[in-house]
Amino acid sequence: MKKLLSLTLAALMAVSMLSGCSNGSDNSSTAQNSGEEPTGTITLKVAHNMDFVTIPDAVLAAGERLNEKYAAEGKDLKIEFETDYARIDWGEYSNNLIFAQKNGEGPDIFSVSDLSSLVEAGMMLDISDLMTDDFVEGIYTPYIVDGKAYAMPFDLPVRVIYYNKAALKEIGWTDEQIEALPTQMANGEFTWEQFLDLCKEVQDKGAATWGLTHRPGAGSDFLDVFRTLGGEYYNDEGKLVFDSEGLQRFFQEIYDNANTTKITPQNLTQTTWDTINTMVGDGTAFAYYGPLYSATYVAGAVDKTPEQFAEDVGFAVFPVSEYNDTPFCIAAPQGMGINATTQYPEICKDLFRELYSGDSIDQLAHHADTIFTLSSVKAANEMEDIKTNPILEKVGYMADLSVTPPNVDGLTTYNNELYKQIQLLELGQTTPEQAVADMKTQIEINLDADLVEYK
Amino acid sequence: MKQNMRQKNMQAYLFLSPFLVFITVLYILPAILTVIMAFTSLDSAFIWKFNGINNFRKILMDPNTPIIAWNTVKYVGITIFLTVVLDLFFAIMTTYFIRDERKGNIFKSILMIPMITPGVVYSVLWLWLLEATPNGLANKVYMALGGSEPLNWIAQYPFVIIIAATLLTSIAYGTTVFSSAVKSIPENQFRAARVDGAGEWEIVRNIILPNLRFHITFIALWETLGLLTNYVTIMLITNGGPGVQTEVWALSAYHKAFSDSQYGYGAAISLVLIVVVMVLMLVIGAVMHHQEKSRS
Repeated sequence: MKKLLSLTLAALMAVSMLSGCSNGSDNSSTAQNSGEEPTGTITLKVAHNMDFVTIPDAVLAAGERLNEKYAAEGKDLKIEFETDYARIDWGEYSNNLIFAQKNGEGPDIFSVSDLSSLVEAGMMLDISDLMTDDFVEGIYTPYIVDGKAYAMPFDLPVRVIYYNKAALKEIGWTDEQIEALPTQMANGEFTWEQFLDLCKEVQDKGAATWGLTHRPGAGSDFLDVFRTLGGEYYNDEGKLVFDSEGLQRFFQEIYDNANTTKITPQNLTQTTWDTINTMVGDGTAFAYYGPLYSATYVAGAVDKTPEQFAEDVGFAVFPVSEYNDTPFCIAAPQGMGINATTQYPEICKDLFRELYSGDSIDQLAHHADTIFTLSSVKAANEMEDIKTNPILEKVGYMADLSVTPPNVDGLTTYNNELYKQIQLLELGQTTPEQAVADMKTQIEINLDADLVEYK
Repeated sequence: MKQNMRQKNMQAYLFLSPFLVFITVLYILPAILTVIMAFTSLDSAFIWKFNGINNFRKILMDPNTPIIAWNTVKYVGITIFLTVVLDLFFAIMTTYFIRDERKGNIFKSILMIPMITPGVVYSVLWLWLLEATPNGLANKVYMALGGSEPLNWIAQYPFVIIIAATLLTSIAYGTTVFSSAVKSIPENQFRAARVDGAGEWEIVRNIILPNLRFHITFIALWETLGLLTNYVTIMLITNGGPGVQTEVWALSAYHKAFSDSQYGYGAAISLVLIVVVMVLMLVIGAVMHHQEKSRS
């Protein structure tokens, strides 16, 4: 039996190794990683997942510009692209990338998720030499593994607090007070505790049905409130932290919001995204926390233009609290990486260089403008597209308060377990103490001991 | 004569071989891989590292394991019981009591609608029906009848809902099988019973049910296999929640493998299920064998 298992495994490994060796794009040119300068027409495969296709489209546009440059220089080189855009779960997308790689069909340039696995699978090219001053400081952090950068950030999407301006007006705030709120929250004059009181006041006075809402599924948005309450989920080395005390405070607040002050609907985790987007868009909910780019979905849910939406809704960073003395917003960039086995690593890097320091910066600005996010590249943030965007023009200051967490192994499992407890707490089916204990048990079982620091 | 038989056998093997190849490639090989995977720490990097029986130790250590096992027993047991009872009820009503075959068939066709509706569409309909806000259809009806606040149906009655949703998709198959079985009962048995003065309930109890006993066993075991391995409806309606209140064994394997990217651990959970299913298949085989023997 042992022999049979060894044979089967050996065969499997041999097949995957053999298939993994043949990666490369179909082309009519000479290969670059052989040391020769490529000539002729080369085809690069570009893969992307989910809605924001302005990311890979920027790469394609940069390719056009590079082709023009090559032609002007009289260089015999033309880049063509083969695109593969998906709209599937990110985990499934990452699996598909690795399977394609093992079959020798991995894309040359691709949107990145679950970076650690892709690095471990040997799929990511080290692009540390592209980490220049052109980028907003610290924006590369999530793409660094063992000191090397493996993907280029294409944007700077921040997670913020949305609040409804009409509701504040209804409870007697002046326009000046309403417009000053984000500044007060950013400079420490208005605390998280005061904001929760405000949510309650708005609700009690009937200006909104609900005070505070959030996403209806597992995700990193909850970590922002956790951090506001002084919770820690990663340490200086980027290792996952299980902070019992912080979690206790966070769970208590989640429980209280749904069951004591009742500013959050108890049934929020059984509600669909459409319903929540509508609640935020039409003012049924006074406040919401999530990515700024969700504004595209929220505005869409209530048929509003960005201008109309910016009139009705304000955005603020997470303010100071009794347990946290630094206002912040978390930046979670979306990025693309280059295949470690691509035949054209330098051309792929040239494409990225063209995007952050060439004429194609405008493509990054266009992407940022389209999805309501700041850009990862400083020069793009100075462009008209971003400066005149009705939403972005008001949140430019957030770049200075943004914190970019590192790539944390095990965070997906942590987020899934956190969400299970949030669901039970809001329904009043567990206590904060029990939630901490149950989550700890699951983290201990599901994540290797060396991945987690317990405190 | 012998050569003729051998030739016939060869022809049969030839016709069967494409299916055997398909089954080997699509089922047996993945099953072998699952067994191997269950002893590895395979994760999203897809690097095979053996970790002995660590995954099975994790299953035993997890305090959710007994809850998930009990959920599975409850889910399968209650659903099977209700499925068989309703299958019998509908089969007898539409075949024995409603003598007009056309009308009986119309009713059976209606029962088939949930079964032939794609799982995702079917589950989305349930979500829309039971949405926790006043926009949900169930809440609209509830509030029109005087309810003051919308109910959070899925959170309050998660188990009832997944059983009801599964039940509706299961009824048509058993009803069809039982209907055919009722039809195959010789008419003279009913006539003789009536001549002896038997009432309808006595006919059902003493003639129809005994004639259907092997069919009932078959449907119960067949549906059990399906319910043990099928988790799509639960995943789409409650996703195993709230917490792990509706997490069943197969869904748990899916969650560990595809939500947490712990493919090795997920495979170990699947392997336990495969063993249970194999035991059940042996039971089915024994029952069928016994049935054949009794008939002959």
